[in-house]
Amino acid sequence: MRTRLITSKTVAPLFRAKERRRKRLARLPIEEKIRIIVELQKIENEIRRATGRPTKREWDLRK
Amino acid sequence: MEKTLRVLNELQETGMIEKYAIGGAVAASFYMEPVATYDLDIFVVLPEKKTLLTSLSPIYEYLRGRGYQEQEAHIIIEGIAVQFIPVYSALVEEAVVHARATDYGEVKTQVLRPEYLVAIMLQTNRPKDRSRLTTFVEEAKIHEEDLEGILKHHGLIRKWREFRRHFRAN
Repeated sequence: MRTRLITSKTVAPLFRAKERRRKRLARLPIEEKIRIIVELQKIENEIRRATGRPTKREWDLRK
Repeated sequence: MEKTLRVLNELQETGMIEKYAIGGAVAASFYMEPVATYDLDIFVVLPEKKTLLTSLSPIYEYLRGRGYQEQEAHIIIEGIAVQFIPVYSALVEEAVVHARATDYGEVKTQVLRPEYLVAIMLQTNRPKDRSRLTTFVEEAKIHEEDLEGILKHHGLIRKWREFRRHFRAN
């Protein structure tokens, strides 16, 4: 019970901040969202390399 | 991306594709936070042929002729991995026909409407569809009446109610 109270008090503002961030991201123009998707691809590939998994082809938006 | 969309528009203008629309994670990203993906899913209505077989071969041949290379199930068009998906159900065909015309930078394109994306995610119902749908219904502006009409027409109302019940419970 004690743990649950501490958890909800501590985590609730974090969840609210996450939700605000998601809604802010949802309002971005699609061109900006595509740039973010490419950044996500780079991050995921870094994790893949670090864990010995094959990487996937990242998009090249310079073309 | 703009160059990729220009090539897709060319395919439509030359009649190799009757109509196309962006689907999948990129379409969802039009209406919600950006969704991680490596594919640009393009749903296509192909021109009517006298054969019952649907083939993407003419599109691939044309694109190969333009110097674009295939990679597994994709073809890399101007730096983007594109996957062409012929419309495979009445729902998906209707979704492409009613796709929303929009702009990406200075290029015209077409993207599936959010109500159809909900219906397709419900119909496809893979774990990633259920997960994406949960966030999608929170963030996207969905026209409730349009959605209900689509779901009724394609027999998805029961699935939708089950999803809503589960969504509210969690």
